Amino acid sequence: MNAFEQLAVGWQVLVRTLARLGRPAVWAPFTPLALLEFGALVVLIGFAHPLVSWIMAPLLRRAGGEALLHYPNVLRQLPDLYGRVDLLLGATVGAVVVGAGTRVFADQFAGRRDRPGAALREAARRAPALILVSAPFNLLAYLLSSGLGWLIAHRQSGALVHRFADLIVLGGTVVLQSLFFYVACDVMLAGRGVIGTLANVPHAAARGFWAALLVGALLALPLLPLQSLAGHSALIVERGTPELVGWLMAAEAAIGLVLWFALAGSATLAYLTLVDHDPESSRT
Amino acid sequence: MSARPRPLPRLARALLCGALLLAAGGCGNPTLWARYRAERDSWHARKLVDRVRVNPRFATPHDYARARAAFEAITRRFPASTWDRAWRPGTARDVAVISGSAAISCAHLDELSGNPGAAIAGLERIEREWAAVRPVARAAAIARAESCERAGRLGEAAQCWRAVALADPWVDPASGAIDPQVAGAAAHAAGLLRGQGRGAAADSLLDAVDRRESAALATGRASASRPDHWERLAGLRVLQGDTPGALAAMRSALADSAARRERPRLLLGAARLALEGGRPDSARAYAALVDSGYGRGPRADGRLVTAEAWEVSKQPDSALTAYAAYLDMNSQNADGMAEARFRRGGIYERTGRWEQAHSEYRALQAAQPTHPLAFASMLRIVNHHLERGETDLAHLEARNAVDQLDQILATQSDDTVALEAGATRAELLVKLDRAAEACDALTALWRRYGHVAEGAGAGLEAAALAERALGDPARARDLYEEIATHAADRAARDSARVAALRLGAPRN
Repeated sequence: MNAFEQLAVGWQVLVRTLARLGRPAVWAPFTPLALLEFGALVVLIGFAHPLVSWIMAPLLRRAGGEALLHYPNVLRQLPDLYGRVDLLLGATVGAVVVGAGTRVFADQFAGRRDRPGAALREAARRAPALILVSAPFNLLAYLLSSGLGWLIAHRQSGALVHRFADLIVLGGTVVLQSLFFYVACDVMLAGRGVIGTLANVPHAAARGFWAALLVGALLALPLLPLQSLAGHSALIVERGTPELVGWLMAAEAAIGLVLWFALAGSATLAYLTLVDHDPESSRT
Repeated sequence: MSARPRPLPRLARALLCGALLLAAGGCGNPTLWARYRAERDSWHARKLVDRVRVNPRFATPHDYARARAAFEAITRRFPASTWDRAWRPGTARDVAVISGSAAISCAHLDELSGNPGAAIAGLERIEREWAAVRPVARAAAIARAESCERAGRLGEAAQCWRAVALADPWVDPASGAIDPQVAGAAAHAAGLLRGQGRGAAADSLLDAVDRRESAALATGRASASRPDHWERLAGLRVLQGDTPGALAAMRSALADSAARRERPRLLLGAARLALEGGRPDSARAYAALVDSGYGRGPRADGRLVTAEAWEVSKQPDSALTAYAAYLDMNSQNADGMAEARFRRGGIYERTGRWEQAHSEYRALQAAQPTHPLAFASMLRIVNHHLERGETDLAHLEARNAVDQLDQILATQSDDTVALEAGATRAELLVKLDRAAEACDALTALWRRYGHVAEGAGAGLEAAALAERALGDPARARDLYEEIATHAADRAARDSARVAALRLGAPRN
C-alpha cells in the first residue's frame, strides 16, 4: 500500500480500536499496569506514611537530598519523579501488557472469544522477548530526550531553542515509535523471537510505517496540554494548591493508559491489515 | 513416598500478606509522617494568612477566623505537651517548631485583627509552654518584643529584647550561622532603654553581650560566619561609643581567612566606622587601601569616604579634589553622584564661593531632577538668599523651583518621588508666603500617603501650618484628629493625639 492508503488505514484502525474502549474484557490486560502506575503515584505522594516511608524516604533522599522529604517539595518534583517511574514501568510491565493486549485485540478482531487471563499468561511467558524487542525504542527515545536536554543545558540555550528541542523530542519519539510499532505483534501473533522480530522491523516499517506514524502522532496530542501544565509544577505549587500536581499526574496516568490501550489495539489491527494477514500460518 | 505439602488456603495467604505489610509499616518513621502532616497543614494555613497580610484592611472577620482555625488545628494536633521534649535538632524538633510557629501565627492574627493585648498575652504563654524548645521560645520572645513596640509598650519591649540578647548567642548552634534578629536584639534593647532614660542598663547590656560574643570569637573555630560575626561586634562597640574597640573588631574581621572575598566591603566599613567615630585619618587610610587594589565600584566608594574624611578634617580644597576624583571615576552609583555634588556645593557655599555652589546645585538638579538631594538643593538655594536678606532673589528662585516641581509632579508616577517633591513644593510655598496653598498641598499629601510615615508627617505639618500660619485651629484640630485615627505611623498618631487634646476636646 502506498503512504496515502496507509494513512487511511491508520485512521480506520484508530477509530475501530477506540470503539472498543467500553469493553471491560479488552481492558483486563492493562489492569496490572494501571494498578502499578497509580500505586506508584500514591506511594510517591504519600512517601512519608509509616507504611512506605521505610523504603521511600531513603529512595527520595538519594534522588533529591534531604530537602525532598519536606512538604511540598515532592509535589514540586512529582512530574520528574513520576516520569522516571513511568519510564521504568512502561519499559517492563508496559511491554508485557501490550503483548497481552495484542492477543486480546487479535481475538476481538477475529471474532473469537475474549480470554484476557490466557492472554496475560501467554504474555508473561513471552515477557523477556516482549521487553527486549521494545527496549531499543525505549533506549533510543531516552537517549534522544536526555541527550538533547544535556546539549541545551551545556550550551545554555534560550527559550526558543527549548521550545524547538521539545518539538524535536516529540517528533523523534513518534518516528521511533512508528518504526517499532509492530514488534509486540511479531512476538505475540507471529511467534517470532527477539532476533527474528528485530530483523523484521524494516519489513514491517516498509509496509505500515505511515499508518503507525498517523496513529502515533494523533495519540501524542492528548498528553501535550497536561505535560505542558506539569512543566509548570513549581508555579502550581507556589501559587495554588500543591496537591493539584498530584491530580495532574493522575490525569496524565489515566490518559496514558488509554493511549497504551489505543496503541496496542491500533498496532494489532494495522499489523493484521498491512503487515501480516495471517500471522498464525506464518508462525508455522 | 512423601506427601506433597498442601498449599496455604487463600484466607491464610491474605492474612500472611497483611501481617507482612503491617510489619513493614512498623519499620516506617512515624515522626517523618508527623512532620509531613505538620508542614502540609502549616503550608495551607499560611496561604490563608497571606490573603489577610496582603492588605489587612480588606480582610473580613471570616478570613481571620479561617486562618486562625487552621493554625489552631496544627497546635491541637501537635501540642506542646507532647512535642516540647524535642529539643534536639531533627525531625521531631521540626514538628515542634512548626507547631510553635503556628501558635505564634495565631497571636499575629490577633494583633492584625486589632487585639494586641491578646496577642502579647498569647506570645507570653507560648514562651512558657515551649521553653524547652529554644527556637520556638526565642521566636515567641522576639514576636512579643515587636508586638509590644507596635502597641507602644516600650518598657516591656525593651525587657523582651534584653532577655533575648542575654539568653541567646548570635551564632545558632544548629546551623552555625548568625541569626540577624538575635544579633540585633542587644542594639534594639539598648535603643529602647536609652529612650526611657535608662542609659546605665543599656550600657550594662551591651557590655555583657560584647564580653560573651568576644569570648565566643576568641574560642570558636574558623567558620564562614566569623567575619560577619566580627563586623556585628564592631557595630555593637560603636553603640558603646568604643571606636577603637570597633576598629579592632574590624581588623580581626579583615584578618580572618574567610574574609578574602569580603575584604573591600570590610575595608569600606572600617573606613566609615572610623569617620563616624571622629577619626578621619584612619578613615582615609582604610579608604586608600580600597582605592589601591580592588574593582571600580569599591574604589569609587573609597574615594567618596576619602572626600568626606577631608571634609571632616576641615580641609575643603582636598575634599573638593577628592570629590572631583570620585565624580570622574563613578558614573554608576546615582546616590553617590548626587551626594558628591551636593556635598561639593555645601563646601563651596561654606567657603564663600556662592557662584560655584549655585552651579553645583543646578548641575545636580539638571542631572538627577528626581533625587531627594536635588529637592534639598532647591531649598538650599532659596535659604541662602533668605539668610542674606535677598528676598526678591529668594522668591524668584522659589517660584522657579515650584514650577520645576509642578512639572515633576505632573510626569512622575513614583510615590516616593511624588511625596518628596510634594513636601519640597509645600515648603517652598511657605517661603513664598503662600501658606494656604502650602497647607492644602500638605493636606493632599497626607490624604494620599497617610499609610507611610512621611505622609503622616506631611499631615502634621499641614495641621501646624493651619494652626500657626493660617490661624485656623478648627482646621488644625480636624487634621490632628484625622491623623490620630488613621495614620499608620504610631509616633505620628501619638503626636497628633496630644496636639488635638491641646486644641480642645475631640468632637463626636
